[in-house]
Amino acid sequence: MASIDVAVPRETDDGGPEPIRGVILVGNPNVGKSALFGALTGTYATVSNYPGTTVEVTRAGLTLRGRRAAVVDTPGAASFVPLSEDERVTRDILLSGEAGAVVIVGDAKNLERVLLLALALAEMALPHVLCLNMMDEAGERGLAIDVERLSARLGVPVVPTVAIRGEGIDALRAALSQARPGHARVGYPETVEDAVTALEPLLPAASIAPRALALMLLATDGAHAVGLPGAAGDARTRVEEERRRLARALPEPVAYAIHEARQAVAGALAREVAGTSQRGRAVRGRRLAAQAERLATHPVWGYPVLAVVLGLAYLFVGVFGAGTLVDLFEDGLFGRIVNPFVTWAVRRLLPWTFAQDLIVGPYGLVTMALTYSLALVLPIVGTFFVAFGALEDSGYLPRLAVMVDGLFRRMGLNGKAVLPMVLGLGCDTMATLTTRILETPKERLIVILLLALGVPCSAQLTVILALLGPLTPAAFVLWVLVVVSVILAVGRLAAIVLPGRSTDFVLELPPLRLPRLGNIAVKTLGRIEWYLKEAVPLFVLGTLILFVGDRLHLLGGMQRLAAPVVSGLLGLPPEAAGAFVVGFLRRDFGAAGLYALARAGRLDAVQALVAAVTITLFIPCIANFFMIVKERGWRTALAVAAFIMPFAIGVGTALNLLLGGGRP
Amino acid sequence: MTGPPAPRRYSFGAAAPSEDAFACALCGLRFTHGGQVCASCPIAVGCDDVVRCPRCGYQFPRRSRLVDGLRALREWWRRRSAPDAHPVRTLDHLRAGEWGTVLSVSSADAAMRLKLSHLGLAPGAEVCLEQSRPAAVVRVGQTTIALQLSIARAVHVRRLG
Repeated sequence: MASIDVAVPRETDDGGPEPIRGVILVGNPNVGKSALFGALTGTYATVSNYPGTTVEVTRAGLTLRGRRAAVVDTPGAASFVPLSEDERVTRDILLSGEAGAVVIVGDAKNLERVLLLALALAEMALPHVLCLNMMDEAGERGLAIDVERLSARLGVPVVPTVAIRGEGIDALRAALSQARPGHARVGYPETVEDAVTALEPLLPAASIAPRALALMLLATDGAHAVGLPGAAGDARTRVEEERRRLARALPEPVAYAIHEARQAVAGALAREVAGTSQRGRAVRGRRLAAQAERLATHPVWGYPVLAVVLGLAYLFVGVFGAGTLVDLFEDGLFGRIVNPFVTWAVRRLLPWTFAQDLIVGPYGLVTMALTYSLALVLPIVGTFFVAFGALEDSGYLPRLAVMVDGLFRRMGLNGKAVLPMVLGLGCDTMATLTTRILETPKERLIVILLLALGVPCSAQLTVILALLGPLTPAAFVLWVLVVVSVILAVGRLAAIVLPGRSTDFVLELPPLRLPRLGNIAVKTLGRIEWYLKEAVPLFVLGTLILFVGDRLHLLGGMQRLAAPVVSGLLGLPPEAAGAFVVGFLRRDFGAAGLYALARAGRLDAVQALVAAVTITLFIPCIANFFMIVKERGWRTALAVAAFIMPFAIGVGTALNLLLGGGRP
Repeated sequence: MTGPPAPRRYSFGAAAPSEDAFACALCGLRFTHGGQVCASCPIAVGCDDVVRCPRCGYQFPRRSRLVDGLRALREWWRRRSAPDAHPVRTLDHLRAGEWGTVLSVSSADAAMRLKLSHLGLAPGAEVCLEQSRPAAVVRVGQTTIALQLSIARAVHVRRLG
C-alpha cells in the first residue's frame, strides 16, 4: 500500500492576520465530530452512535468573518499513530498541509483521551482549538471541568459544546481565529529524546514540526508508515537505524513508550482540571440506560433482546412498509391513479405506438421504471431507513458486535465486522467503504466478499420481503436460513483459504441513548434523496435496455439463450432471464422484476423462493462493484464477481433440486 | 529486535488439572501423552480426543466435554461462594461489578497493547468489570470497552476491596 507523502507548507500570499486555510476536525471515535461539523457548516454529515460512522473525509465551506474556509470532518482516531485504515486517513490529512486550524473534538466525559490528542497536536505545532463536546452528559455524570485553567495550561482556547443542540458553536467559531500551536510539551525517555534530536536536522521541511515528524517516524511502521519524499536516502536509513536502536534499548515498542509518556502528562493534567460537581452522580434516565446496557450484552438476556429488536424492525419494515405502504402506493396510487391516468394521457397526446410503449408499455418508463422504483421499492426502503436510523442512533449496533463475536470468529473475523455487515443491509456500497474500520486486509476482504455475496441491501431486501410475503412464513424463514448459512459457510471457507491474519476483538461501546427524532428524520430524508438520485436513473436505464431488447426481438433470443440456466437449472419461467439481466444494474431491480412475475402468477412458492435466494446471492450491483475496485483494485473485484455468479446459480440450483421444484 | 517480555503465568485457586497427564483406566500407569503411538495410525481425524496407554494399549477418551463443563461449573460455584483471597488475578476473574487496578497487560501482540492503552486500559488504570461473557465488558473512567475473553485473560489486576 502506498504511503502518504508529507507536503511542504505553501507560502500564503496575502498578509492578513493568520488566514485560515482549512479547519480540520479531529478526535476520538464517536465523540460527535460529524454533529459539530453539521453545526459549524450547516451541511449534514451522517451522525450516528457507533464508532466508525465517518470513514472518509467530508468537506464543506464555512464563512468566518467574511473569509471562506473549508471545514474537514475526519474519521475518528484514538491516536495519530494509526492502527487501522480510517485512523490513517485522519493522520494523512494532518500531514497534507491542508490544516490551517485544527479543532480537537473530545468527549468531555473522557478528558484524558482528549488530552492525549491535544498533546500530540501541540507537538506538531499546528494551530488548534480544543472543543469539549457532550458537556451535558459530563454534567449528568457529575463531572466539572475547569475550562479556563485547562486553556491556560495548554495555551489554546478551550470551548465546551453540546453539538447536537448547537450549544457553544458560536463560541467555537469565535475561538477559531485564536487557534494557536499551544505550549504543552511532553518529555520522553532519554533514549527516545536522543533519537529525536539525532533525526530532527535530517528531516525535510514539512507541515508539522520536525520533532513531531521524528516521533511519528519512530513510532509508525508497517502498512501505515510515513513516506519522506524530500529526504535524502541517508535520512531514511538513519530513521531505520534509530528505530532498531530504540527497539533494543527499550523494554517495549517505541510507540508504546511515547504513548506512556503522553499518558502520564495527560493524566496529571486531567486530574488537575477536572473535579466532581455538586450535582447528583446519576440521573434517573441514566440508571435506566445503564440497566438496558447490561441487558443488551447479557450472556442470556442479550439474545431475547436481539430477537425483540429484530422482531420490531421486521414488524415496521416487513409488515408496515412492505405490506401496508406498498399496497397503498403500488395498488392504490400507481395502480389505480397514476398509471391509468398517464396511459390515458399518453394514448391521447402521442399518436405513435412506439412512443406510447416507451412510456406506458410492458417495459415503459412510467409503468415499469417509476412504478418499481417509487411505488414498490421506495416505501419499503423509506421505512427501512427510519428503523435503521433509530438503531444507529441508539448505540445498540456495537453491542450486537459483542453478542455475535463468537460466531464471527469462526469466519476469521471478529465481532466488529458486524458493523459493516449490518450497514450492508442499508447499502452494500457504503458498507464496503466502512470495512476500513477493520484492521487487517484479510478481514476487509472477507467482509467485502460477504457483503457482495450474501448481504441484501435495503432496496433488495424489501422487494424480497414483498416477493415472499404473500407465501407462507416458512418461505421467508427458509430464505433467511439459506442466506445466513451461505454467509457462514463462505465466511468459514474464506477464513481458511485467504492468507493473512485476523485480529482480536476490542471495541469501544458508546452509551445507549434514546434516538433523537430530528436526527432520524434528517438522516432518512438524506438517504431517500440519495436513493432517488442513484437508483431511479438506473431503473430508467434498465427499463430502456429491456425496452430496446424487446423492440429488437433480442429479449426472446436472450431468454432462449439463458433458458438452460434459468429454466433448466433454476426451474424458473424463461421471462425471469430479464430480471437477472437488470439485476446486473441493481440487484433490487432484478428482484422487482421477479416480484412482478410473482404478482402475475407466474411463480409458485418453490420458484419464488429459489428466485429470491438466487437474486440475493447474485452479482453485486454496479455501484458496489466499482466501490470494490476503488477499495481493493480490479483484480479483487473481478475475482469476487467471478466467484459469486456461478456460486449464486449453484446454490439456487441445489435449492431447486432439494425442494423438488420442477421445470415449468 | 527484542520481543515483548514473556507473559508471566499466575495460577489462582485450585490448580487446573493438567491436560497432558493421564492415568490409564485399565492398568493404572501414569503417563503423559506424546502422540508417538498414534503417529502411524491412518485414522488421524477425530482421534484427537483419544489417548492410548503405552503399557497395556488400552484406549480411552482424553476428556469429556460434559465432565469439563461440569468441572467449570463447579469451579465457578466455588469461586462464587468462597471468593479468592488473593487480590491479584486476571481481569476476567473479577466478579461483575468489582473494581481493580491494572498491574500489567501481557498480550503478546504489541499493536493490541498499544490499542488498549489508547482506550485507557493500561497499567495503573482503575477498571470495573461489568460482565465476562460472551465477551468481557470493562469500564475505564467513562469509556466502556468490550474485549474478547482471551485478551481479558492477559490483563492482570489487583482487586480493589
